Amino acid sequence: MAGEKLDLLKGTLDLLVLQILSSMGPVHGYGLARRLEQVSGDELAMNEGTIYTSLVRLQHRRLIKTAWGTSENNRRAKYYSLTRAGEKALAAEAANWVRLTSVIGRVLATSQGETSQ
Amino acid sequence: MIRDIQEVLSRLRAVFRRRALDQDFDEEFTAHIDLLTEQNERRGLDRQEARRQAILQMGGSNATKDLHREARELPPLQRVLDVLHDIWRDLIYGGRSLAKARAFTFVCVVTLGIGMVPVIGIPWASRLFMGPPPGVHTAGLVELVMQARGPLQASDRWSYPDFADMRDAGIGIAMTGWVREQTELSSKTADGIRTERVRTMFVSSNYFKLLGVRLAAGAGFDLSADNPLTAAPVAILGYDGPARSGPDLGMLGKTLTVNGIPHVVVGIAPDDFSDTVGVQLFLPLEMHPRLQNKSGRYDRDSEWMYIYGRLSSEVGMEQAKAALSAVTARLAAQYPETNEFRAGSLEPYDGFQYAQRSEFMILQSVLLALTGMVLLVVCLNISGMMQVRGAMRERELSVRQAIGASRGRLARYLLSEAVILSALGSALAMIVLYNIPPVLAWWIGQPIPAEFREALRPNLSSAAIVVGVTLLTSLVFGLLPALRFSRPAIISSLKDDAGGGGHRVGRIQRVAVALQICIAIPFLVLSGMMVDRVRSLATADLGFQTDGLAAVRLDLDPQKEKEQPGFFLRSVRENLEKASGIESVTAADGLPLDFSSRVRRVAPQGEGKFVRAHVTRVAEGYLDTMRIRLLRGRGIATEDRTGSEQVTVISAALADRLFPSTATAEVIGKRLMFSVEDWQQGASSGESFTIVGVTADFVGAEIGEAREQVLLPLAQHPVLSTVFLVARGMAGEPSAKLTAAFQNAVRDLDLDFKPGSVITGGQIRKTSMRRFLQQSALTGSPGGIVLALAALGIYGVVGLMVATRTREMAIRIALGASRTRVLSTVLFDIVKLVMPGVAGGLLIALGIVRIFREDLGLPLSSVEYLAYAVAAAIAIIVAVLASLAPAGRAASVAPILAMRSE
Repeated sequence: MAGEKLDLLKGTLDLLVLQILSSMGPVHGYGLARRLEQVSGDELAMNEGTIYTSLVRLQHRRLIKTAWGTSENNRRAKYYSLTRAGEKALAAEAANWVRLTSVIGRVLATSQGETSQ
Repeated sequence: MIRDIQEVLSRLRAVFRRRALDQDFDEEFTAHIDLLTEQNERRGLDRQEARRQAILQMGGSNATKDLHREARELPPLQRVLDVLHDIWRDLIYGGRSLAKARAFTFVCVVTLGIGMVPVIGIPWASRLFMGPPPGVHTAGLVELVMQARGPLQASDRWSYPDFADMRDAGIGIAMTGWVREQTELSSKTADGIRTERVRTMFVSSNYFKLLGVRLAAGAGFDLSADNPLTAAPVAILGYDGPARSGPDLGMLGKTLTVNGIPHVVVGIAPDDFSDTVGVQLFLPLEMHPRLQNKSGRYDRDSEWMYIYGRLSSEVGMEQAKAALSAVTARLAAQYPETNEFRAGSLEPYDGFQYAQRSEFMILQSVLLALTGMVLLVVCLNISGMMQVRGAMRERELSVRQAIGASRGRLARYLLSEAVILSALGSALAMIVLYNIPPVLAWWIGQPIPAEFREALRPNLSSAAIVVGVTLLTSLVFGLLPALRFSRPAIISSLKDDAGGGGHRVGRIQRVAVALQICIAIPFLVLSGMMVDRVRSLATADLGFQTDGLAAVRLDLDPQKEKEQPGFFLRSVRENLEKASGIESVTAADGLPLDFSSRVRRVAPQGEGKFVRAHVTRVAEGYLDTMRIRLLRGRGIATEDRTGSEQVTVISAALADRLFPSTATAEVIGKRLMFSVEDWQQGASSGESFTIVGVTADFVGAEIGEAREQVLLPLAQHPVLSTVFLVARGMAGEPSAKLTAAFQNAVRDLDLDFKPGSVITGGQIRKTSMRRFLQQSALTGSPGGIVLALAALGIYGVVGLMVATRTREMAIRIALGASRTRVLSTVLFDIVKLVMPGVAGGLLIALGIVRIFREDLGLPLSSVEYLAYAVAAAIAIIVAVLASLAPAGRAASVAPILAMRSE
């Protein structure tokens, strides 16, 4: 398995995007992609284009807002940032994720325990 | 929910802004690729390879753009189809579960059908009266109306001189005048001369041209028809009467006899136009009876005709209105005594006559409101029944919820049952609606008029009405049960079968039931009184003797009648009198119980208090032959002929109405007059008639009709078309002999005479009775329908009451109460539920009977109280019967089932 990249679980990309926007403040699509690559240690198998579909979904749900600005290389670029609803959603989703992973972890631990017995 | 709507709206906006958003994303995408390319170059790739890698990293150019658009816009078709499929599955499942509950479904569908028939029917029926007739060019077409001013109300009727003045004023509005009348059209057929009354319109010569309607054949009226000096008796044929064979083009140039005068047919109107306006014959306005003498022609006082106008192309609406009001102002100055307050204005033509339009709209909305109320009551009832069903199925719903159905899902399922029920209900309503005209046509024995067939033809708006009513109805009665039972109390429901309760019977439903009973009772009381009226009339004295009486209808040839008035009738009569076995012979223009209404308004001379009376023109010997009792004075006799004093004989009922405080003997010699409108033909308005006799009461055209009667001498008011020859046989003579005598007498003079047309007194009596019973059944049926609806409402409420109180009853049984005792508790509750309604209904019925008893023709006797008692009893019995089934179910609950959940 080592060396192969991980597929993202359905719905988790939105959570990652929200988290990055929360930590970095307003950022454009390319910046998001780089940041994601950076923090994930390049372990996620994903087309960078899918980030934009995630951004559109979040926009429809009013969790993020957009504004046109100028990028570091002096090009026009669209900057994304969290709305208040986005902050709330991130908190809820993150808590949910932590609970879910801990439950899954516990279940896996017991079943591993059973198999090892 | 709000968030979902926001998202859908935002996606919808994206669909409409697709180009702008595509450009935005193009720019964003290109910038991203450029930055990636630069990054790749920094890693040492050459520019081309770096760009290729960048696009690969993005996941392809077109694919990414497609994905973006998909995420941005509405869900693709597949997801829409998925939702539709879900709904379809709910419908199928709902249909299946309804099919299992057959009785429930049947009752719901029938009541919904009853409630929906009028609601769907009224807009359909209103199409009968809406929209211009086919072929009419409405642009620039106006109706001339009179504005409300001073003591005058708004109106669309004008006097003839006003019409002529406005028409000739030259203000850029072409005008045409018209009025509807009835005329007598005689035609020669194989069986001799046939005379019928036809719906006729008197019109100016430019009528068709102004409306833009092209004649099917012929040149129509020319300008000479508008000139009183040159107007000739010409006619344009409309559709061919009730036979509906359409106008016969071969009639062009032939001659018709209208009101005894030969008219040349100069045109054939298009069938669909004349059919829609309901006119069989068009005649020149100048031939109208009112314009045949000077006083009528110059009478500005009476307004009796309508005017349509067409604006010429250079005249605008406002300009034309100003011009017209200048003309009417001039007329007002010129003829202040009649025209002082008359101010003309224009209304755009829309197929409706101005005066009718607002009345029609009011009538339609009142009717819709009333029938809507009925439908609302029906909905409340069905809502109650659905809640009973929901309560009984709580377990099933709980299981569904327990295995993961969301509340929305359950609600959607329950609503889909409501939609199915109301769709079936509206289907039933439509079957009924489509079959009402044929059934009525069969009942009356006449074909369906074309305008009805036209109104019944399905089109987009009628379909929209049906779908709208269906969905709205299902929402009204389905929403409450859907919301209530989509949230079952899982635990208690899963634990027992017995309906733990937790849902209480709504106050709305209790009040609705009481209200329905309250409405049903007056109907029942009135129906009961109608039944009593039928009974008393059926046994009442007709006032004349039917046994031994025979009559035959004779169609006269108007032409011959003009030449030798009364000759034919006199000859037949003499022939008949000579026959053996005949006691006496007379003639009349109608018979008692012949269903032909000849009602006119009469008043004592010099008084304005007009009373409606049934007028018959009779020959001498009428009273003797009919065996009508003469109370005072004399009957119509031979000396009452043309030129002698105008006389009349009236019935005692009329004498009482006209001269309330006068003894019968003193009525003789008093004088009587007819209202002007009712007596246009023959007599001039001021004419009066001396009363020479008073008879005992006898029936009019129908059994139930009032018995105010006026008899006039046939010789003084000759009939041109149809008379009845009446004979009485000697006592003990068989009726066959009488019939034979008739045949011999008539056949000598009229070779085409058919023996079958002899009517006997017994036949008259029988058909009349049958018809009266039919009418009474019709008047009584609303009471039955309302009561049936009320019974359903009671069933619904009681069922719900019982279903939610099962546990209480089980506890009672467990504590030792007998089942009879439980049953009686429930029944007592029912009586308590309906009692306020019964009391209110009785009060309303009492009020209605007291206030309207004269209008309704109700006898006020000992029967009145019996009717109240019976109505109250029926309502309570129906309520108890409706509650028996659910009460029985409750009483048979096994205590253990109900108690287990504690």
